[in-house]
Amino acid sequence: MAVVTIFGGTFGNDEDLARSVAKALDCRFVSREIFVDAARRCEVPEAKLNDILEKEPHWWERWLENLRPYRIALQAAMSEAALSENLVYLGHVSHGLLPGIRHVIRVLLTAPVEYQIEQVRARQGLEPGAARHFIEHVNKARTRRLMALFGTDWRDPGQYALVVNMGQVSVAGAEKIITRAALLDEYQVTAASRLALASLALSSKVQAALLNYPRFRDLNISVVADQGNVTLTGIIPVSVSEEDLRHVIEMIPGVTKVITDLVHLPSRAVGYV
Amino acid sequence: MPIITLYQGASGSGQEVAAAVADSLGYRSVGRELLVETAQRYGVPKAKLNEIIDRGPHWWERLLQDLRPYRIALQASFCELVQGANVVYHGHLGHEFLPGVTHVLKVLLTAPLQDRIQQVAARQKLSHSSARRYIEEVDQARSRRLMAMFGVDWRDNERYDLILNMGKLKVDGARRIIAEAARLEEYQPTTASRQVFQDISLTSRVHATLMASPSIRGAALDVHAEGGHVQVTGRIDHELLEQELLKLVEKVPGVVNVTTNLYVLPPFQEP
Repeated sequence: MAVVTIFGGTFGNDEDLARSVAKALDCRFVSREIFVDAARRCEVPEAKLNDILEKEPHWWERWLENLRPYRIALQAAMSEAALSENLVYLGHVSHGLLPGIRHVIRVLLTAPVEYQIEQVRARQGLEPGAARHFIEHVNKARTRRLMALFGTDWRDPGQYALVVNMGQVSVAGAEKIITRAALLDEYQVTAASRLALASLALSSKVQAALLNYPRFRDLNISVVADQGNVTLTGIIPVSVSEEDLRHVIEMIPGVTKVITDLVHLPSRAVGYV
Repeated sequence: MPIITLYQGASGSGQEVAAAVADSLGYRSVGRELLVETAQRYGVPKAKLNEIIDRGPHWWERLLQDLRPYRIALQASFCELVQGANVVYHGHLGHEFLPGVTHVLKVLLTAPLQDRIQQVAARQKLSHSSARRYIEEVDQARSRRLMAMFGVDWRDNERYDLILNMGKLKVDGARRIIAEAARLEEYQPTTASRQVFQDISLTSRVHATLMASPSIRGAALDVHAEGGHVQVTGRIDHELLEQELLKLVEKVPGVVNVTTNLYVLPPFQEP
């Protein structure tokens, strides 16, 4: 069974569709709530996470703030959820969170702008001009936010398995198309894809755990997990103890071995890195 | 059942997918070659059509040349090919020929750039960088061509009903998804959608017929057909041409009557 992620970009009945796909595939429907617990565990303020999910970063935030903790929190939550059960996720961060996992089917819902305007008018009672302005504003904000978070353009169809235009097709019709795709052999879980997801979940969990330690929170190191073996690579300041780091990671359930390839640099030098 | 158009990039398995879909639905798979062949009856040279479809116009052509006659000839030919038949068309331009016809399922096959590079490199025995350059050139030419002919960007997701990423998907998987969509009620012909198709078809066939006539080709005409009633408006070189025009239009199958709103303006002649 596949993990289905749906990026709803139509301002229409995207949630109805996602719920209907979940029901047809006998999967749990999840949305942004799966990130809330993870945010708490990673000491990422929920309000801040809401900002990241719902609003665009202001330009000064993009300069001043590191979005990495939020990306880690989101990825840890998503990979953990995808590992534990079959799910259909509806939201705007799905396409960037489970990279390289073969059995994840990413879907983008799109629609002609006239359709989007009609949806916004019906829901918010706006005039056509105001509805168009609202859509343009939301899409621009979404593009900036997701570019800042993942470095990719959410409108690029290459990031999805399937793009469905809701301009003409009904919720029931789109459900049939997505369900048909999700049942294809290409998107079924294999031993290799499950292992890849488990490794991604473990590396995300390790990175998320490090966020809870002020001395490790800002470390910019690469964490790669492979069947319980966790490899850390990068540069750390002399003030950070490699032993402490190893100890913290070894305590994380699922970690069997920690391999390090770390270089210490004087704290002044790190500032220049 | 709907008309299906498949559009793909500089690499890929569009033809195989089209054949598989056609087999599965009892359709006929039609490619670009047949479209060009059919368009020749409207007096457009095959080489010119191939050039337009394959290469895209250079910037100076876009300035100097009106691509409308080619678009109309191709559109009329496309309508002839799909009229009354269950057809999967694989090739360029197909998804733009029938605007507003709801029983057309427009599919784009895409793939991650790396996959496309590998395919092109293997098929054409090119190096990685040459294959990449080739794909970029073909995509750019395609953009120019569609922009010049229809004023649209082929990369606009909203121009398709379905976009399938062939990165992971096999031909049979794509076939199953397309066949599922083609069976949906939303894409079945209705009385209204058939009428829209007939009107587009008649408009383009009449227009292409007029443009194929050596004496009328130079006229600036607009054609509009609705329920078999054809209206021709615009400029002709001399008034005798109106009778010739009427005769030509009346002979086009499907025409019930013709009205004209023409004015005469002789071509400019140097003193």
